[in-house]
Amino acid sequence: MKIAFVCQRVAAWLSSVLILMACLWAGEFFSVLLNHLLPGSILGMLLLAGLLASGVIRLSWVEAGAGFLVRWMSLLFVPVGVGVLDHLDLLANNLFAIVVTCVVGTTMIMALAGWLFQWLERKS
Amino acid sequence: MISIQALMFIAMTVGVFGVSHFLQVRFRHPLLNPVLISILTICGILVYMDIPFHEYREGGDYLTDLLGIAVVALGVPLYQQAKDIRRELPGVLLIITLSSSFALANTIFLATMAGASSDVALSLAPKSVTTPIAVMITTSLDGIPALSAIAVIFTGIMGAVFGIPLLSLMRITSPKARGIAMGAASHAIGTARITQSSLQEGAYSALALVLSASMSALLAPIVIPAVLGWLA
Repeated sequence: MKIAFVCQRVAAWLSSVLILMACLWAGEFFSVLLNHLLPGSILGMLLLAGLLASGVIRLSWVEAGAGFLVRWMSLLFVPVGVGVLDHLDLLANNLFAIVVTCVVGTTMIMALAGWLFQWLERKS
Repeated sequence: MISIQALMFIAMTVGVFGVSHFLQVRFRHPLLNPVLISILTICGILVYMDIPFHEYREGGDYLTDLLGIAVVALGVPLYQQAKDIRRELPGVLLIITLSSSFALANTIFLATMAGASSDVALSLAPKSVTTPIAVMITTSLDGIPALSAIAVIFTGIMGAVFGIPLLSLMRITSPKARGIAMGAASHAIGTARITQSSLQEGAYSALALVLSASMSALLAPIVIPAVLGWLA
């Protein structure tokens, strides 16, 4: 009983990793075809959603790995952020402009998109 | 083969992130965002122990490489909301077109008002777009890609830390609108954060992230030179 369960878990993980990687590779391929207008990962995400929607792939085949990755995705941004150390001079020279645009600008964009969509939703 | 040193830096990153995550679960304060705390802690460790960034990067790059596959995985929540999304796609598209144009123009305007030169303002313009596209936009317009990357991460962390309380403060209560706003303003880092609070918000955030990345790539070559010309 227990062995069957373990095998099932391993199979679920293997199939999800394989499918996610296949989608990423296909996405990279289309990205080259499209002259890098969109990155491969984004095309891969659309492809995965499309394959799931059309029933080619079942949700149970990707759920295990995809759920885990989505849940812990934040971790992967940490090394990118630490990369700031490599550009401290650029950061120091433009600190004021960066802080103003990131704090004020981001809040304004969030408000605009959120209010507009909420207004549209309530109208219809 | 992966070196011991690289493995050590990966373990350190995962460990620091694990502790930061635990702190957030325990104390639930928005400033205790695990991404922010981990970046600051690791920067501190590297500077204190005098480790050059390129040594850390050897390990860090393995984690960065996983980002591609994690973005693909966002296709699952997107699919789970597909029925709803299909019905609302025209509205979402309209709003993302507006918000992407506004984001590009407004950022250049704010940066110029804050005293930035035109090449700095141009490099900050795509800050609400996910890193690979932002860097691509800046490169194609002869800006400074490293500056775009910094601004993108700051923007993402800003959204991940203050986004959810800000949305409530602005009385944006509909889960779909909250997702759209987060994805449009704070791309993948904001999406990763809001997915933890609800999968529906996460799906709309992922949708807004994709659409605003595509829209910005199409609009940037038109909007950015126009705004810069108008300000000059």
